[in-house]
Amino acid sequence: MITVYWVYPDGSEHKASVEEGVNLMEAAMANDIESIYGECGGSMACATCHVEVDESCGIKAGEPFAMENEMLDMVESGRTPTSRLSCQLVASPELDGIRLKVAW
Amino acid sequence: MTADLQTCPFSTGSLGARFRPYEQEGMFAFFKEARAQQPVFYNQELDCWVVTKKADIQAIFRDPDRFSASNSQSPVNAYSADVHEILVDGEFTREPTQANTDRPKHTRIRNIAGQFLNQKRFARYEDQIRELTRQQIATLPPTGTVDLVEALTYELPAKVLFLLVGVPQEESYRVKRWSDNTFNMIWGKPTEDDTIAGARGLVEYYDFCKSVVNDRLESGVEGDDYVSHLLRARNGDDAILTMNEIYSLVHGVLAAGHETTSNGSANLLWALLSDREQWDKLVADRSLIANAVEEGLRYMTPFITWRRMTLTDVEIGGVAIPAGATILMSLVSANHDEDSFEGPLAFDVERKNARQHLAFGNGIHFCMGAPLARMEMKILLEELTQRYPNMRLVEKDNIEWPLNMGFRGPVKLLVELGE
Ligand code: HEM
Ligand code: FES
Repeated sequence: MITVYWVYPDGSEHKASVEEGVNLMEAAMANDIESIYGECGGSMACATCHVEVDESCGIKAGEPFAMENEMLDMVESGRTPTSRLSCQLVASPELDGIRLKVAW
Repeated sequence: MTADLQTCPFSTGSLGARFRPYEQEGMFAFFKEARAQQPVFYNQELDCWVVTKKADIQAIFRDPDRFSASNSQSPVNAYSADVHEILVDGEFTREPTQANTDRPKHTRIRNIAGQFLNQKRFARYEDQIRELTRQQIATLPPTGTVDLVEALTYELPAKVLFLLVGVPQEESYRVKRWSDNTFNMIWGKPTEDDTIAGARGLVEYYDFCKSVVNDRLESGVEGDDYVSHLLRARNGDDAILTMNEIYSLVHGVLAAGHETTSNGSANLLWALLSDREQWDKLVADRSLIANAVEEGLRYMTPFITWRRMTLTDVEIGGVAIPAGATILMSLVSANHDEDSFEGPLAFDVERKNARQHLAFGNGIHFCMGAPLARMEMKILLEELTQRYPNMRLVEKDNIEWPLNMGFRGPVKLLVELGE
């Protein structure tokens, strides 16, 4: 289990324990995180799982995959340097404590 | 309904025995009953397990470890030896590359295809798609009766796709015929004579795809089209993509990429015009159009069913299903599920969660053309509501649907253009 924080635009946050191996879009769905829909089911085809990694927490999620990159250019909420599709982030010990800003 | 079931002599087997997979008539009511009475049932005619609830279907789509996609485009009625011979002699070597392929091959190919088939790339074509749509609409008379399928929705999506793939527009009619044939060979109920002729059609179609790819290879791969993209990605390396995979990919997209959108568009127009109030809402407020497209896909799901095969023994909705079984997911039933959609059998362009349908599948195989299909249908409605706000259906009922267990779209859609 790792801990993941989702941070809403108003600064409020939702904390949850996530089993290793589960992707963070699925985890968001399981925790009813608002404005994450995971419409395509995790295939980098919808971008409705877009998050911004808050690197001030000291954790980096790495670079997006090539296909993810194309999708991120199209996100409605606007891409940022740490934008990722959360369906491509898989819970692992390295991500323990990660903070994800939910794009609105 | 319950009373009916109880009087039936095969009380538990009854749904499976009454299921008419090829017929569109009565389908909505049948699945409503299934969702309430027996949401997972066995059908002998197709030797498959039919799954009808949205949550179950979504879980299957998201579980490629236990459910293989390898059977998703296999002919429902197996080909005869004669048909096989024609295909072998004709070097019909089409191989699974996308929708009916499992990992790791699927991942390798999807990553390459996705560098082209994605929303960002599609967005570049918006102006050209609008122009093609206007040109096609301009061929309609100012008033009078026309068949919208023939005049509009049949060929237009093929022309759009040709723009992306890099095939001359003049070929669109021929390709439409070939892909009709392909769909009928896979999901229809052709007679043996039909399948013999159909098999020759498959061979011709595949030859055409090969020639498109080989011509491009000769004339240069610098272009902005899908075929050039695939050839550039391959860069002569079979470990990346083989030539036969590229032929197969082109064949796949040349069929999947327009037949579905043709049906989706005609279904949407039928639903809107069957309930004039809905059409009038769009005429009055164009900002509703994007959601109307989603509601059309939900209510009149173009691919009514989609298949998977169990890789191990599984349990779905409390029903035990052995390994190696065919699972028939009723996408239209998922999209009419009372647990997911309020008043699901009403067509409502203002429905809040219309977009949560499964018309494009879900998970690792989620339709790569979804953003394109959405854009095409939206543009079509924007242009049509503006040009012919008073359009009316000539006949609401007695619509002819294809005899097909996979896809659906009206064969003809006669309208009075109004003005
Ligand atoms: C209304 C129109 C369309 C509908 C209803 C539709 C439906 C579907 C469905 C149900 C699947 C299977 C998904 C799954 O197994 O989870 C699929 C896959 C696919 N579709 Fe579409 N489609 C449409 C338009 C298009 C267009 C326009 C294109 C091409 C530009 C396209 C390309 C594909 C491809 C390449 C796949 C295979 C993806 C994979 O296996 O990874 N589709 N589509
Ligand atoms: S869930 Fe669709 S891109 Fe992540």
